[in-house]
Amino acid sequence: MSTLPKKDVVIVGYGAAAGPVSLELAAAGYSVVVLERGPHLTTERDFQTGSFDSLRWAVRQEMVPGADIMPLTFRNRADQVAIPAPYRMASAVGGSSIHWSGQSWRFYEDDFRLRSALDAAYGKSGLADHLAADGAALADWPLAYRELEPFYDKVEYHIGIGGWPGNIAGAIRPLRSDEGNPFEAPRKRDYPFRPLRDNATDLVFREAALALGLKPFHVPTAITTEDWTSPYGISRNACTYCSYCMNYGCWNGSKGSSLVALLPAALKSGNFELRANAHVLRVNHRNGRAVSVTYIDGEGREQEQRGDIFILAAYSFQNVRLLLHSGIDGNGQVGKYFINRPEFHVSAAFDDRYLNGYAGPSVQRQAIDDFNGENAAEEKQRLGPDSFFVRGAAICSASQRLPLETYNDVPPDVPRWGAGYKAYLSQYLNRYLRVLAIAEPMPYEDCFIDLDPTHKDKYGVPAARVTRAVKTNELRMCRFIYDKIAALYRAAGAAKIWGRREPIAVASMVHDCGGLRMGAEPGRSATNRYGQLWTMPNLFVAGGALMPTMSGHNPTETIWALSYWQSAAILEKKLDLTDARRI
Amino acid sequence: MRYPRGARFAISRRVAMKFGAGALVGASVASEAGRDASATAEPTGPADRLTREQYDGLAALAERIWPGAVAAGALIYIDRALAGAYARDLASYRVVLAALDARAKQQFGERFAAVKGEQQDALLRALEADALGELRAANGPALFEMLRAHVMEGVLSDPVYGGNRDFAGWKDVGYPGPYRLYTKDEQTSTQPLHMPYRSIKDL
Repeated sequence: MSTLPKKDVVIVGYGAAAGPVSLELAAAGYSVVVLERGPHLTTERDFQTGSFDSLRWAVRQEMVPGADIMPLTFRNRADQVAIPAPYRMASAVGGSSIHWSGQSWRFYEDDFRLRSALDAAYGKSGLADHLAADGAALADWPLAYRELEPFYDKVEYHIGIGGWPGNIAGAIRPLRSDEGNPFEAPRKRDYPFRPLRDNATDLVFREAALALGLKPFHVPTAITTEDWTSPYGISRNACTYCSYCMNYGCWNGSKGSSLVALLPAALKSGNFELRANAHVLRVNHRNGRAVSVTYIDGEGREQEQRGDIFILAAYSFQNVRLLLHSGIDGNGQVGKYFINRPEFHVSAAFDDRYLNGYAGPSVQRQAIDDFNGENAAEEKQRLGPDSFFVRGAAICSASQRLPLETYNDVPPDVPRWGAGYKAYLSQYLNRYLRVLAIAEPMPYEDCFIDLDPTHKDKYGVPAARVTRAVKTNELRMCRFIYDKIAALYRAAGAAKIWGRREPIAVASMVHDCGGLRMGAEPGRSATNRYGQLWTMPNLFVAGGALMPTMSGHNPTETIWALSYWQSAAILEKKLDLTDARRI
Repeated sequence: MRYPRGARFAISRRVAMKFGAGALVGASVASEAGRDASATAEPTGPADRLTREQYDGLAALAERIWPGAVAAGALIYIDRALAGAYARDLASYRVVLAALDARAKQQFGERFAAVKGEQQDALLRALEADALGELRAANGPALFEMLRAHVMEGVLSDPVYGGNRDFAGWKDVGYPGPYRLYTKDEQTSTQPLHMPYRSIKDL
């Protein structure tokens, strides 16, 4: 093993979470090294033509590491033996921000104070008592929306998010009466450019939503819809509306990722070193301080990288796994309060029209937020105590219905193989759409990540073991949302409607958050408000693992914003690298 | 990137004729002749992967999953995959094809490829429902799902992988193949688009 020259900052993983903080620190003069487990794929070499291949990227998932690298196991309850489960995130420079859909929202203002908000709304009535009975571990975030707002703004203007504003400083739908999300948290200013245009699927969704008196809007997206140059001086092309988007690297550089929107600026700083194919095995520590990480480099050699500040910016499972395997359990808080969404979607097919869902990117989406957060509070309260649930879901249409990604999505009365199956797909594959619900899950005392006692990766590091079940609130929420989606489909004149009204729990639903909760005090959280580990003040966590609670919106923009927020705290010396309590 | 080349593939003429896939046998001869250096690094021939009888069974199975799969080249796709990306599944193929043959002989007096379509369906339904006793330990439903997925990949993946011959699979479901750009008019149309079929190699 060789020991490499010390750096100011050592960052593990280069996905969404690492992008902002690594760039900001390098630009400010810190020497930064990033150790990324995956390869350095590039737009020019790997995506420009190579992306147009569902077999490689969606079926065989070439960007997703196997169980020899990222073993994951799953069980519903702590008294069960966990079994291997599929991992779904990308391992490459840029991480899953390469192969995501690009759906890019802010969280709600009350997502940051969920415990207080729900206490105030339902504490007296007892309507939400099912949460306590299920062991819900609600919390307020240790930061308020207004504190993160400048960093959301920075994401939107530096990485490039397109949308229609729904709320500029309290003015609802200020620009066009029917385009922005009227429920969104207040923003300081408009988006830098507009979102993707609507396709046939979006128009079906939109017309049905309007017919039902709902307020549809086009989801904000991290995709450049015009030729655009960021404040970092990085120019990107306008999206061409190809269909190889979610699961694929963007052929055109239009889809925002840490790879195309941040890495070029980081490299230009001169203080930033990227090491791809660097598989970190553990954090070495002494007297409560991290001193180095041990990793296997691309040639299979073991290396030790020393540093002053360490930032674990791998995916939630891997951050927890690395800490636990390194003997860092953060007062027993590492791995607790894991939160992920239930798997949930509803499909429909039409007799009277084609939708040609193969033509266009996944995130060409119309959405409604009428049933998200507490926006439908009155209607939910009328459901009565046996059906009432808190929070809700964004509901949106999804495009990119490529054959290899959709051939399994057939109504339950259609055979899954044989002549009847072929006849169905031949008739309906291009007359079909799917609606997704971004259903908000709750954290629970008995949902967590730890180390699997049996399964290991090829280096002998134990698998991440996920313990997670669908609870009452998620079950009630999904039944309610299913019925709302079915009503949309009926209003649109769908011939067939199908899906799973009762959700199932899975190890990874790609929005896998929590596990390293940030909090206001040690003992009930793993890190402080800047992601600084309470028990190891020169070690930070970045990414969705920090989130104390989730949202009915996709998490990536918040992950990027938190990363900017952390970098500002370090640069402005708002924290003490010797004591995480001194903030 | 480099796509797998030089598939060696052969099924018995009787099975090929049964599915109207006479051209397939000819194609396999042509690709044998055109084998290049990269291909010779792969296993040395079909017999290393599956026996002729097993290929017959696989062809019959593929036709029951998706009528026309053999003519669409699904077996060429699978044969190449078993020589590369899915090499780890070869043992499972042998197990499940042998089990289907054994059960077909026991129940209907002939091997799987030779029994009637309805009888093949009954055997496949048994496999799918975990009712083939000899496969219970090997997880019959998972094996069925694997076979079904591989056949569908052979029908619906890009022709550069050996299946979806002449875009047969994409023509069945109305998918024109990869395009870098769609216009607003194309995207908002509620009629079929009738775009020319193309492969990633045409981009």
